[in-house]
Amino acid sequence: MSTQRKLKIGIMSFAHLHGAGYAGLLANWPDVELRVADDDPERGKRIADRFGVTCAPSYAELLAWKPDGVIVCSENSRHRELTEQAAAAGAHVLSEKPLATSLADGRAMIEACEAAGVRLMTAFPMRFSQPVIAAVRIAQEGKLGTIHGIAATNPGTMPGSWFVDPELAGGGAVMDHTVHVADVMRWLLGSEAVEVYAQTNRILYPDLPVETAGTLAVTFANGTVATIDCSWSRPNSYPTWGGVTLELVGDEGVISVDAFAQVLASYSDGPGRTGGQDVRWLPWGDDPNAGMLREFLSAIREDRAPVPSGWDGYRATEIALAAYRSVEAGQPVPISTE
Amino acid sequence: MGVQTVGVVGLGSIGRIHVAGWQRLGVTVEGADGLPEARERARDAFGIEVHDGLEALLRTVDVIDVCTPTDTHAEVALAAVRAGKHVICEKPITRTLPEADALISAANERGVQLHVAQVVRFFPQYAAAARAIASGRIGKPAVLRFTREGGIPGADRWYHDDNRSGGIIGDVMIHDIDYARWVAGEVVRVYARTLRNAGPQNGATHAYAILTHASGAISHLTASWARVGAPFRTSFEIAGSEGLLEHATDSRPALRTAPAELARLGGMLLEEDPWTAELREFLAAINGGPPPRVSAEDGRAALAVALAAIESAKTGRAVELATEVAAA
Repeated sequence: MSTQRKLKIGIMSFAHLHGAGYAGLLANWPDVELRVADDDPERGKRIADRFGVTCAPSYAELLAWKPDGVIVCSENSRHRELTEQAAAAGAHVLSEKPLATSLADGRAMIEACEAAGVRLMTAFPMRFSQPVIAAVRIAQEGKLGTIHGIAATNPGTMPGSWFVDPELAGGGAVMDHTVHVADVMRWLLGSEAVEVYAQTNRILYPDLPVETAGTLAVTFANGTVATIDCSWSRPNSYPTWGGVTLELVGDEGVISVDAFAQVLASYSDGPGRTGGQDVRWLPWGDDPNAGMLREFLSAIREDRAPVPSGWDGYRATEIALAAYRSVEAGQPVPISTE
Repeated sequence: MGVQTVGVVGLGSIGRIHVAGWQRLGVTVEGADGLPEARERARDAFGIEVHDGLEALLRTVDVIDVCTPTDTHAEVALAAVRAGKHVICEKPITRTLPEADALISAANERGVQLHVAQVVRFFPQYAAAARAIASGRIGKPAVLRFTREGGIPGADRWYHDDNRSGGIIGDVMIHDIDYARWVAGEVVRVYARTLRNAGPQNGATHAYAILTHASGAISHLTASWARVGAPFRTSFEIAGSEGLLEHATDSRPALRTAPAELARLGGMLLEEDPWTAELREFLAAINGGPPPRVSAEDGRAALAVALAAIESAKTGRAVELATEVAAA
C-alpha cells in the first residue's frame, strides 16, 4: 500500500457543506493529493487554507492539473455542467446528491462520463453507515423473510442558503432528503420503485419558496411498500442536525435501524458557565463519509465501477421527482420503467 | 345521587380493564358476557355479579359500558340508549358510519350521554404533548409521526376478522387517527397501505397511512401486529413551526430489571392508569360535570378516517374526506 502512487483528487465547489467535510478527510490521507477550486474564490481559499491544501484559481486550472478524480459539491442544478467539465478532462466523478435536478441532466451526466471513459459515483454515504450495513446484511441473509414494508425517515434542520432556492436546489425538503433512504431501499430490496404517493407542506417555514416537509409512500416492483419522511422538521434547538432511520418489516421479524444513534449526549454551560448553553449529541460511530470516499478512491485504483453509481443516483432522483408529480396530482403516480 | 352502578358488557381483555377501573373509582360494577368462561373469570377476579346478557344488566345499572367486539357495538349500545341508559362505548364507536350516525342521533333523541373510549388521549405522555401543542410550545403542527406496534392477537380472536374488527387499521391505527385529529385537526385526505398478510384469516398485519389535515399538516401512521417476540411499543413525533415533540415508550425506561420480565410487576408507574382516568372523566360528565376531552362525534370522525384508510388500501388511491370544515 505504501508504494502506491498518490491519487490526485480535486473538489469542485464548496457550495454544499459536505465539501468541506470531504476536504477535511482527504487532506489527512497519505495516499491522496488534494486540490480544490470554487466559483466563490473567497470561500474556496478559506476552506483550502483551513486544511492546508492548494486552491486553484479556476475549475479549468484545477482540471488542467489532471486530477484522477473530482468531487462535485456545487449547488444541485450545477452538478451537470461541472461533471461534464470534469469528464471531458478525464477525471472520474463523485457527485454530491441528488445527482441532478432533472432526469435529463442526470442522464446527460451519465452519458458524458461514459463517453469520456470515466466513472460516475453518487454520494450516498448511508451505503457506508455501519448500522445500516448491519441491517441490510441481516435482511439480505433472509433473516426477515420477505420484506413487506419499510418506514424510513431522513429529517433534518432547515439548511437555508441555496437549498431553499427552487432553481439551484431543484425543490425543497423532498429534493434534499428523499434520495438517501430511497437509495438504501433500492440497495436493500434489489428492486426499483414503480409508484410514488407524496404529500408536502410549507408550514414549518412559511416564508420559504419551497416545501419544507414531506412524506412519501413508494411501491417497489417486488411489492414492498416503503414510506419516507424527508422533512426539515428538526428545530435549531435539536441536539444534532437530523438523522436517518429505517424500520424493516418482514415475515419473520422487524429491524429498526438508526444510522445516527451512536452518539453521546453532551450538555455545556459554556466557559465559566456564562452562557452559550449547548445541548449536543456527539457522534462516536464510524464516519460514513470516510467509507464513501475510500470506495471512490478504490474504484479509481482498481479501474472498476464505484458503488453507488451514477445510475443509482438517477434512480433515486426519479423517486424524488415522482413525489412532486404526485403532490400535483393528489394521487399516486407511476414511475415509468424503461 | 349520581351514578351508582355500571354494567360492563363484554368481559374480554378491555372489559376486564374497565371493570378494574370502575372498581378503583368506587363504582359498583356488574358484568355481562355470553361466554360462561368469561363470566366465571370476571367473577373470580373481581368478585362482581355477572349476567349472560344485556337484558339483565339493563334492569340494575345506570350506565352501560360496551366492551364487546366492534361489530356488535351498535346493537348493544343502541339497546342501552333505548332503555334510557348513558353509554360508554369502547373504540371504534361502531363498525360502520351509518351505525355511528344512528347511535349518535338515538342518544341525542333519548337525552342520554354517549362517550367513546379513545383512550390514547388519556395516556399521560399523549395528554402532555397535546397540552404542549395547545400552549404554543412548538407552533403550528406541520408533520407528525405515530407508531403503534405489537405482536399478533391469538389465533382464536375476533380481531383477525376484518368484517368484525376493521382489521389492523380499524382496531389499532384508529387510536392514532383519533389523536392526530385531536392535535392537528380535521383530516381531508387519506392514503393507506396494508401488508404482511398472516394469521388465521391471512389478513394484513401491518399498515401505513398518510393523513392530510385541513391545515395542510401531514401525519404518518404505522400500525402493526408484526412485532412478534418483542414488547408492544408506541411512539410519536410532532414537528411544528417553532419546535418538536418526540416520545417513544421504549426510549427511556423508568424501571430496568434483571430478569427483564420483572419490570412487568411494576405496572404502568402511574398513580392512575389511563383507562381509569378515562372512565373518571366520563363518569364526571355523566354526573353533570364538564364534557370529556373526547366526544362521540370525535369517535365517529376517527371511524370515518379509518374507513377511508381501509378503502384507500383496497383501491390504491388517495381518498378525499368530506368534512364540515371543508364544506364551510
